[in-house]
Amino acid sequence: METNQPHITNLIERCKKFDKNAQLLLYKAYYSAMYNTAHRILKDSFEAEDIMQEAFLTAFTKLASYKGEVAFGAWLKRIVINKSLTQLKKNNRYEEVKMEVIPNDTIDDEAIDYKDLNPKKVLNTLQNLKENYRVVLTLNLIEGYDYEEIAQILKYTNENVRTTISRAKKKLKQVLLAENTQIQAYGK
Amino acid sequence: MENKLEDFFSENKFDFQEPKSGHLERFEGKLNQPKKNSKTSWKWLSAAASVVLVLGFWLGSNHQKKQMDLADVSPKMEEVQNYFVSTIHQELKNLEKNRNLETEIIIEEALERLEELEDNYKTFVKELNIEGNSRQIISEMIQNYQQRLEILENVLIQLEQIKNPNLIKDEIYL
Repeated sequence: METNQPHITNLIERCKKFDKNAQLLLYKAYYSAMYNTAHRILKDSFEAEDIMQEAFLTAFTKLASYKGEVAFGAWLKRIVINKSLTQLKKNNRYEEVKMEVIPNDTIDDEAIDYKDLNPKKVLNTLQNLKENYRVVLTLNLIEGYDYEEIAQILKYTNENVRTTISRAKKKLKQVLLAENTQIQAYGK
Repeated sequence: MENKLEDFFSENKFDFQEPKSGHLERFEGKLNQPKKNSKTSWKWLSAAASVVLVLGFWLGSNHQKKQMDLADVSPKMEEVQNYFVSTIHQELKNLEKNRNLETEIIIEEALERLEELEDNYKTFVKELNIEGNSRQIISEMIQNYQQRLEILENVLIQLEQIKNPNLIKDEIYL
């Protein structure tokens, strides 16, 4: 993990003394990334803003426990992710999780031309997957957590994380491939 | 190769969203608000709440004898109340056994609803003391207990489903 830039370190020190200006500056430096992280999990702008801001408030009150082992952004992001997942669980309280059977044929990765893919569309595809796939892939591919970290975050077993991620990737590739061939067909 | 997908994600940015305008002002508002104490570990709060609840039933059945309660109406009613109090007590215990991260929210919500019903019950007791032996109040008190039991039973079914999703589904098909 990268270390904090000097002015961030300075801001953090001032925030530890509850300097309101420093808190706002720190917010301005990180709100966008944190908002996007929350939004990718919650898919709702109102909730994402609320959770993102809540996370900042929590971070400010717990700042004494931040010892700088990781970059501040990474530390803050964990708070955002935990809060977002809690909120997501709340939203889905009564929703049933469907089991999905994925055909076991291996996807030919070569068939997907990643150069032609539009990140925004790919994100959209990812977000339309069923929820546990969406969450693990967001954490793994976009936020960059490894299996062990994801197991910790989601309180899954490592084994469970590994299989879920590999199934989710397979599914994502399937859908991307299907969409891709569709576009090519239209293009003709 | 497996890595192409990963490469695609690490090579691209996926921050397409921007909070709605005015978010900074809204955040400033939150910053300036006196700190809500809602962060005082709600696990403890909820544990405390359920202890209070259980205690409430005991006190409710013992202490309130100064006041007239359902049990004081007739020996039959005393039996009814004892039945409800002990069953609810038992189910609450079951509920606590199932408490974990996944079920926390469901359990909390149920406990909240129980507390609401308990508050309602208290007003019935007051009414009973003012108006004396009223059929309507008595039947409402009994209904109140029934509702509490229903909530508990529903939650326990839900918890069972969470614990064992396949089992319940299979049973429906059988």
